[in-house]
Amino acid sequence: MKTLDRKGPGVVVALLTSDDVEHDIVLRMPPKRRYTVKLKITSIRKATPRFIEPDQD
Amino acid sequence: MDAYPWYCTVAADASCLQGDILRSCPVVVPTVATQFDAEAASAEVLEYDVVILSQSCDLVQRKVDLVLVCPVWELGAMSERSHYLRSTEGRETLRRGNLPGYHLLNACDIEGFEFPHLVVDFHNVYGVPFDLLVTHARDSGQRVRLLPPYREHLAQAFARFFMRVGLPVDISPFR
Repeated sequence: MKTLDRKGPGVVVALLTSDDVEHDIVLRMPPKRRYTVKLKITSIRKATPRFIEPDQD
Repeated sequence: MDAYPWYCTVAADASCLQGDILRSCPVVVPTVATQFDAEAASAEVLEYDVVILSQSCDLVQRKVDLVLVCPVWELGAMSERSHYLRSTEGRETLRRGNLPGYHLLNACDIEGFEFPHLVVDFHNVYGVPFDLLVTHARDSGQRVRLLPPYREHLAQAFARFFMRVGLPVDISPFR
């Protein structure tokens, strides 16, 4: 924060530098190439869990 | 600073690791529909340059079926679409890691693999089937790999983005 700017009695505006804040900007970039494919659904099933065994020490 | 290079190149058939940069990687995204219809399902194939985010050990030990990747863009290409990123202030904010959804990677000067600064976009991540990714990597020839500790720095930036919490009522700033 650099300075405080007094705008009148009881009104203080803080001047922030870019170091003080995070900017949450979003840029929607198009892919390099885009095309449509038709899908042939070969099966529909309920997913089952896949447990990864922990490494043995 | 040559003692701490950002990148190396690896052979096409080298194991895929976190930080590998793959060019024109196909990502299959089901076409948006309000209701799933197996008879009329379609998908779009989007080709992105991507960086692998999945943990290397999970990839080497084949503990994942889908590999987490996210798009990377040349800084110049992003700047064309963003006034903010054309500014020195915007680029500095990005470089300092104060744009939570983005992460800046250094330019690469390896002969034959040169590229300018890259921006990793965390907003849209994709799961690519393991075999598809490995086949694509093998068919694409030598590739560039981000090296430690820059690789871990990337992973940390993604973790920070993913775990961020927006408070409904924040603590008032100190005056």
